[in-house]
Parts: sequence; structure tokens; C-alpha cells
Amino acid sequence: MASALEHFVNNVTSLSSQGNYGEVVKYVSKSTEVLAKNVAHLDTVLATLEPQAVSLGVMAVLCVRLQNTTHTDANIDTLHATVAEFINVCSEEQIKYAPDMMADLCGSYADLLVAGNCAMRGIEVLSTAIRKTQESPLHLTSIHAHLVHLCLVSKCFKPALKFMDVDIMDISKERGSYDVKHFLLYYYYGGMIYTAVKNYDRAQYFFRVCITTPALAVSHIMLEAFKKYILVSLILEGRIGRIPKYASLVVTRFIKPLSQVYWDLGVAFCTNCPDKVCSVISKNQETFTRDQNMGLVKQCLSALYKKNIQRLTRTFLTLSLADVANRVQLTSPQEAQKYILNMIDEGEIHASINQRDGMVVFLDNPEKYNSPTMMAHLDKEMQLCMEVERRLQAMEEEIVVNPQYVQKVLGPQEDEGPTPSSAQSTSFSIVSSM
Amino acid sequence: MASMEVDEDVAAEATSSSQSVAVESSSQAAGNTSNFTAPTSPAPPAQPATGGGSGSALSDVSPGNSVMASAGTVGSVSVSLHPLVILNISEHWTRQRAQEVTSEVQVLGALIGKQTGRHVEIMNSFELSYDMLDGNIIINREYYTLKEEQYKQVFSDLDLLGWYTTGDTPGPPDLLVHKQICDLLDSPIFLKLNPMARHTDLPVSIYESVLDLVNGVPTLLLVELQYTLATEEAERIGVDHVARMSSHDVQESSIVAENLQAQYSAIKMLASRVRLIAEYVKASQRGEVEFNHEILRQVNALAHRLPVLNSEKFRGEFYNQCNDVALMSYLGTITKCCNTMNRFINRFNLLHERLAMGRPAYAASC
Repeated sequence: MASALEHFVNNVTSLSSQGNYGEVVKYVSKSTEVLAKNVAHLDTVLATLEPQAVSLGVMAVLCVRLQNTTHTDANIDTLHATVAEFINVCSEEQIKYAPDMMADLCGSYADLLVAGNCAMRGIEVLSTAIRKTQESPLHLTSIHAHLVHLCLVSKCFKPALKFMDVDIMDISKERGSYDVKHFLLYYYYGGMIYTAVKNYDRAQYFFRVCITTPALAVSHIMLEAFKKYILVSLILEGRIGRIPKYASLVVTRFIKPLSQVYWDLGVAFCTNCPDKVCSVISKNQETFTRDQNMGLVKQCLSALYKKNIQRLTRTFLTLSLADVANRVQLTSPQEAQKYILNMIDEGEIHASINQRDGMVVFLDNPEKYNSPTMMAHLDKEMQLCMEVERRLQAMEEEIVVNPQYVQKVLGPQEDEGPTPSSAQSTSFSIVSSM
Repeated sequence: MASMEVDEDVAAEATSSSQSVAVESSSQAAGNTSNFTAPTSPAPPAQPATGGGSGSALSDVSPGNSVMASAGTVGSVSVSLHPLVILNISEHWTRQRAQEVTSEVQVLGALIGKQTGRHVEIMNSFELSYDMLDGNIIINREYYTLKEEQYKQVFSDLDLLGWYTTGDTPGPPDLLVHKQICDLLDSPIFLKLNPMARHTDLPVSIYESVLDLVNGVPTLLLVELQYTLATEEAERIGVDHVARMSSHDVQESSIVAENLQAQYSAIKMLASRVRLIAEYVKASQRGEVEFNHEILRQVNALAHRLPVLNSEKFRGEFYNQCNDVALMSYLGTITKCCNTMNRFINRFNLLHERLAMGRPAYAASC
């Protein structure tokens, strides 16, 4: 009853003021039932607790409140306001004690917004939440997945891109509540966002990460990611993307047969014949539409025309527009001209069109690689490479000092104070034998 | 003594090559009784092998068992040898020796290079695979064809010149292999490296083959060739660097490494001094240091001395070279990174090899 809630409020306030946040977390997790029983009074409780001082308590209450709510407009407005304010003012060090609760909170909050069709409100809130809970800018949290979901639903991609452009190095475990579903969703939604902004390279990378997640069972997310992976590879490279060796067996054994239609499309694509591709598309139109991939499939078709035009550059130096249209099986020279102009703009082809006689001249790549910009580019790539190497070395050192590893390597040898030189020589021989 | 007389009789009966045989028998060391059987028989193939067993115990000159032509025969080509080849052969031998239990190790390989007229330049070498059949070495022909294709892709202007092996002085087993190489090439060069040599000269001998009539039978004999060591600057520096790097227990560094080290220290010092001057100028701009016109005038003069050359053409060439160097270092960085990654993955696998497969998303961030 109300007394139980008062009890809860008093305990939480006193423990928080003492700074004993570990205790607070334990107490709070024990009292979730109490809170759940008194859902109606939770709003008053929220009013009494101060978000900054008693962040953990407020978080727990909010969690329960959000889970037990329906998405009427009034509810959403107030809840959104409360959550936004909470996340803006909550104290980071308190939150670090209960990252799983934070993740839960954000999850229910995001679901609520999506159900209420006002996803855009939550983007800023979740961005702040991520920044506060992340152990470092390179950690992946489950809130990332929710943020990307919201951005995708509200078609507002820039905030998500800011987070996605950073390569993830580590995953925050959130005290055991981090689920692989969040990981898969982050990369799947992320890939979709990159496809929407036409950054096909990164999209392919994200989808590839999704399908190479170690797995023992088929996940629908992986299945969808696989279908999109094939389509994006067709657009990007003009051929079916290579399934990496380290993808789990589940992919080849189960997922591939389930997405046979896409594989057929890829095979037809590789024959470079637009008619075949069109026939495959029209034959399987319902499947594509049902999977909501029809847009991508149409982009594949135009990618085929582009690929054919690029193949022409290898055989011809100049060609008339009519010829281009014929060889690539486009409907008219004007359409060919449109295609070529687009490709020149995006830098996919080097050519110049002579308007008077309708001739296209294919040029060589004018890049001589001797400019300062190229050197700056090389320098940047080298820095990236060195950064990766530094990280690998750090990870390697972690392993080398791991006592389990040392035991496995030295075997049944007794290590009672070996002299430094002999230890060095054994480690050298071990290193050289690795 | 009896054997020598028999030899001389046989030599008198033999035809044009009798003189070479006589020369050899006169220089023969005494007391080799088993040898006299060989010249009397008409040299069936098994005989030289058995004779060769004892013949190699002595130094080369047992008549009929010897594979050397007369001492007076002059080679038909002049040879220059690149030190890279010697390094390759010794590395091959050392590696083989380290891997095998037996201490008697013989390695075999092919020599490639260029031949112009009467001058042969041996530039590189690669290993050959062989099988032992009845104690004879048979070269694996398929492996050779495969390697030939590959090296033609990389070194398109180098041809097969001959073959090498290790050991003491040449004997009939070498001739057998030489005959096989003759199928691939008209007159191959034969190089023999003695890894157990005790003298300080280079224990490398080069031979070519001549067809001589011994007892009426045309046999292959070897003629020693004189060779010179051919080096170009870059090769000498590179080989020196590799040779010193590979002996890591000796702390000396190669000449090129010392040179680069000196340049590196000099540049580091220059960079620190330039940084000091820049800091001073910035500080006086901020007002932390008193504005000293004389010092600033000097700094201005210094800054105007560079760049020494600033034309359009210079800039083009300069960036060309800069970018080339940047590309090479990029390649080096990638290779080093691949190496680190490989080591890391090996250790990771070792650590986790018996653990369950359920590790969430470790590998995905690669």
C-alpha cells in the first residue's frame, strides 16, 4: 500500500544520500514487486523522488511504470516528459551501477514511442542516454539498438549515423542483460539506415557483421539481414557477396535455402542480361513485396544497367548514345545519357558526352595519385591501421598475462622462479612456434 | 703399384681420351685396390656408382670413377655469381639441417639468371623437390614445371641456368642428377657448396659439363669454372642487412640500419628544435614572453630559407615521391598489422580452444 511505497522512498533516499549505491541497486531490484503492485501511485512517488540525487530509485520506478502502461496520448506525453527530464539530469555515476535497468528503461520507452507513433521525440533522449551509459565511445549498448530503431521508424537518420560511423570495439555487458538480439538488431537496422542514405559499402559491412554472428540456431533477424546482404552486394559490387568463412554453418545450411529467391536473382544478375533479371523479379514479385525489399530490388535492376555501361568502358573508347542504349538494352538514347550523366556525377565512370553528335568518350582515371590530398588520405588510412594494431597488441597482452593461457602454453612445466634469460628464451621459442 | 700398372695398360689401349686418364692416374694417391676393376670393364651404369662410393672417399681423381675432366680443360663460359644465391643455398641447407634428425643433409635446387653470349650471370635460385629411387636422386619434374611457371611470372627475363647442391667434391651421383637437368637445358651449370668446409675461402665451386670419350664411351665429365662475385650496391646492402639481422645473438647492426639510425636521430633533433622555436614564437604572440625583435627577425630569416625550391614541376615530383613512400609505408603498416592479428588469433584460439561455442559476438567486431 501507500506505506510500502513510503517505506521504499525513505529507504532509497537514505541509502542514496549515504552514497551506498550498490546497496541501493540491490534493494531496488528486490522491491520491483512492491512497485508493480502499486502502479497507480507511482506518479506521486516520482514526484517526491529527486532525479539527480536518487537516480537509481527514480529509474526503478520509471521502469516499472513504463512496463505497465498503455499508449494513450496523454500517457505518452507525460511519460515522455518525465523520462526526458530524468535522462537529462540523472547522475552518471549512479547509473553506472545499474546499466541493465537503464537498458530496460530505454527499451520500454522506445517501444512506447513507436507504438504511439511519435518516435522522433525519443531520438535526442536516447542519444543522451547512450552517451551517459557508455563506458567509452567505442562500447556498444542495447540502447544503441533502440536508438537506431527509433531513427529508422521516424526516418530521421543523422543522429544515428553519428553513432554508427564509429567502429565498435567492445560490448558493454550490462550485468548480463545484454542480449544477442540487441546486437543483431543494431547491425540490421544500421545496415538499413546506411542503405537508405546510399552508403552501400558500410551497409554491406553491417549486414555482413549481422550474418557472421556465431549462431547455433536460425534467427529471423539474420535471415532478413542475409537477404538484404545479397541485394546490397549486387548493387555495390555487381555480384553475389561472398559469405565469409567465419559465418556459422547455420547460414549455409538453413538460411541460404530459405532465401533461394534472392540467390536466383543474384545468379540472374551475374549473367548481365536485364531481361533475365526482369523475369526473375516479376516471377517473385510477391515474395519481394512481402519482405519489403521491392525498393532494393528495383535499385538492383538499375545497378545492372550501370554495371553493363561500365563494362562497355573496357571495350570501347568512344561510342554513340544510341549504341550504348542498344548494348545495355535501355529503351532510348536519352535514358542512356541520363544514366551516364548520373554515373559521371557520382564518380563511378570517367567520360565526357559530346552533345552535338551524341558521342560518349570514355576517359581514363585522371587521378595521378601525386597530390597533397592523396597524401593526406594515405596518412589517415595509415593512422587507422596503426590504431588497429595498437588495439590488437593490447588485446594480445591481455591474453598473454592470463594465467589460464600461461598454463596451457607452458604445459606441465613447474614454474618455480626460472631465470629471466631462460624464461625469455622459452617465451621466444613459444612465440616463434605460435 | 699393381693397380697403377693395370691402369696404364688400359690407358694405352684406350683411344683419344687416354691422355686424360693417364694424367689422372699419374696423380692418383696410392693404395686404392678396388679401383682397378672399374676401368677394365666397359663401364656399365652400376659400376661407376659402386666405384664412386670408394672414389669419393679419396679426392677426386680415380680414373673412370672420377667425374672431373682433365685438369687442363678450360671452361667455355665465364660466370658471375650473385651473393643472394649463396645466401639462399646456405639458408636452405641450414633449414633442412634444423628440421631433420640425421646430420648428413643434402639439398638440391635450381639456378636461374641471364646468359649473354659467353657470359653467364647467376642471379637467383629456388629449391627443387626430389625423390630417392634405389639410392639415386630423381628430380620431381612436375614440381619443377610448376615452379618454372611461377618464377616466369615474377622474373620474366631470367632463365634456368643450372642446378646446385651441397656436399664435398662432386661425384657420380651428381652426374646422374646433372643428366636429368640436361633434359631440361642444353648445358647446365652445376654449383656445389660445401657447408662443412674448414678453409676460409668461399666453399663454392662451379662446374660445367663436357661430353668426353672415356674408354670409347661418351660420358659426361665436369670441368671446373672460374667465377666472380657480381654485386650491385642495392643487393650488397640488402644481403648484408639480412645476414646481420638473422644472427640475433650478435648485437651488431648492419650498415644500412646504422645509417638510417643516424638519420633518424638527426631528424628527431631537428624536429625538437623547430618545435622549440615555434613554441617561443607562439608564446611571444600570446604575450607570455617579452617581444624580442632581434630573435624574431632571425626566426623570420630562417623560415624564409625554406623551401629551397618551389616551382610547379618540383612540387609535382615531390608529391609523387612523397606519395610513393607513403604507399610503401602503408603497405608495411598493413603487413605488420596482419602479423599482429595472426599472432593474436593464434593465442586466442589456444586460450579458448576447449571452451564452449556460445561466446556472444566476440569475433563479429573484426
